[in-house]
Amino acid sequence: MSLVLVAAFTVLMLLAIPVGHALIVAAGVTLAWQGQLPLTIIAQQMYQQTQSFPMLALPFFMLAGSLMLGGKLGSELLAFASKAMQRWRGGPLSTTVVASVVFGGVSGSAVANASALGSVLIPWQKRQGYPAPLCAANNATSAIIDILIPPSIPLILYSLVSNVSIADLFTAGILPGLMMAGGFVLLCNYIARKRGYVSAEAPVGKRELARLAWRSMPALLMPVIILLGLRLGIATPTEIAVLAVLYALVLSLMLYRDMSWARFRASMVEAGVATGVVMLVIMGSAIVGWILTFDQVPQRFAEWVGATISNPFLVILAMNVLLLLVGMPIDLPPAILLLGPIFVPLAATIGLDPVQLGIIMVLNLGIGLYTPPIGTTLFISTSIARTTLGETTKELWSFFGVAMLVLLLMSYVPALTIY
Amino acid sequence: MSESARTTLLALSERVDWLVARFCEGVVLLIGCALLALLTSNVVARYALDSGGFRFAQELPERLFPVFIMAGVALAVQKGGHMAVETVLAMLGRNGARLLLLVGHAIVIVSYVVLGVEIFGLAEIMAIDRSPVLGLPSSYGYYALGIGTVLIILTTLTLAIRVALIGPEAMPIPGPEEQIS
Repeated sequence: MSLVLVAAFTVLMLLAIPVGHALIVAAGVTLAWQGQLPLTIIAQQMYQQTQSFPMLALPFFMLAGSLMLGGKLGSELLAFASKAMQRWRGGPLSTTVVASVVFGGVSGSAVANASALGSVLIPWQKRQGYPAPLCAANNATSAIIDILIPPSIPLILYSLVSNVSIADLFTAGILPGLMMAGGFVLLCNYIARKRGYVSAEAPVGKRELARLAWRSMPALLMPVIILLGLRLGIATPTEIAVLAVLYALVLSLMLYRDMSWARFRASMVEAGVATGVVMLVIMGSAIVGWILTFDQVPQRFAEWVGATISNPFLVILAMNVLLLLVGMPIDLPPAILLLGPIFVPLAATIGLDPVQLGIIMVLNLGIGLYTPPIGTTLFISTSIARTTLGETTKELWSFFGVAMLVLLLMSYVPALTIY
Repeated sequence: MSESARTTLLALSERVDWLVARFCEGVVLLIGCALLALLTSNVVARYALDSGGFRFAQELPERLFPVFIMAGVALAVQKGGHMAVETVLAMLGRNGARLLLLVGHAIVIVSYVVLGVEIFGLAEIMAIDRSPVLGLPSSYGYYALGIGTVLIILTTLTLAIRVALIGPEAMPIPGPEEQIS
């Protein structure tokens, strides 16, 4: 039964049918082929996913991010990041990295980050003398930091399939996000020194930097407020997401005075569309997950791995290789939703904490967003930089190396994610 | 096909798309604001009232969420927001790509017709299942899914018409803000 499912899904994917539809149709084909199970299972599974209260957090975190970054606050954040990094060798490149960290505290999407930051920073970096492929590679890779810093949409999705607390996952994502950022900043500095890039703009004074930091403070505080709200049990993740929207609205209305009905309406519709995209995949994955569980695939897979590879070290390595391969052609949300139910029981058999597994999965599949030949942030960044995929890929490897180093640390040092 | 028939068909599909888009945007806005108000008032009520919040605070948003989701799903079809693997598509010429897209659209339409029939059938049965606090039947959620499948069929059909008459370039390209990775 599961083989029919996999075959149908593969054929539908090759026909360029969107993943969400492909999952639902493949499940329908499988149930029809099996003949004993009713098609109403699909409807029931779809409906059940819409009754998840924690999933209500998704549209509101997206809305909060869109409201905050779409207005003056986004410009303030960018100004702060660029001026803060101007003092460093390779500062313009590092600006993308630091901006990804601060934008990550507001938004939860790497693709939106790559586009928003890339369109402003890449042309500026090119004017400062940095080659287009390097700017593109830096932008494509740094965007992944966004999905590790809370609020993170992929981590919310992982919590759905693993039943791990969103607060624990958000807390665990901070250190890898900051380590990745630190590694990229050092790399940018090293590249600038090695190739002799010198910043064309004079660094700003400490007073001006402090002023910019103060102006950006409301956005910089957002991840802190989210984590405190969750950790202190003030509200549920869904309510925290709603409060984040209110926070963004109050800032836009009272402090920055850039809110309009048209902007609110556009942001709400954007959040609705993004929710539709991710919920369709969630609904499709739930049906596929139901079929796989009915066929006892996760248990059998865990047993097979346990019998074949006894060393936990190798099991984690095999998981990472599989995630890297899957992350190349398949987008991050469906990959989490499809592999999560298989990997969580497997992780339990080797004593791997589900929080650590979540960070490994998100980080690994995030790397897939810029791994050639298919990569969304890679395509966006290359297109903005007006260079070729081949040229960007040549510059990508050093960033890829840093990301792999962070991934290995997260995979084999539990203390970095469980604290 | 004659030029006038082609123009009429394109105009008709644009009109259908416009209607679906306005309807779905209205639903997203209305339900989104309602959810925002409900969930906010519950947080306030939890700290202001002795009862510790409203008893319906989880139930009502859960009943409204399917409506919000399905409107978003239909809008995403129109905007090309749903993620697809387009490796084979990129390898094909214009006519091959058109054919591949039409086959894909046909599969989606037929599948959702079957699914829609199942969902509406189940909705009638689920009317007896009521929520504990407000007594709302589960059938509302199933009807939302059913109407959503009708909207998906309509938008996929109009997309297929445009691809057939114009070519693969008629497929919408999503903006980065509509992507969730």
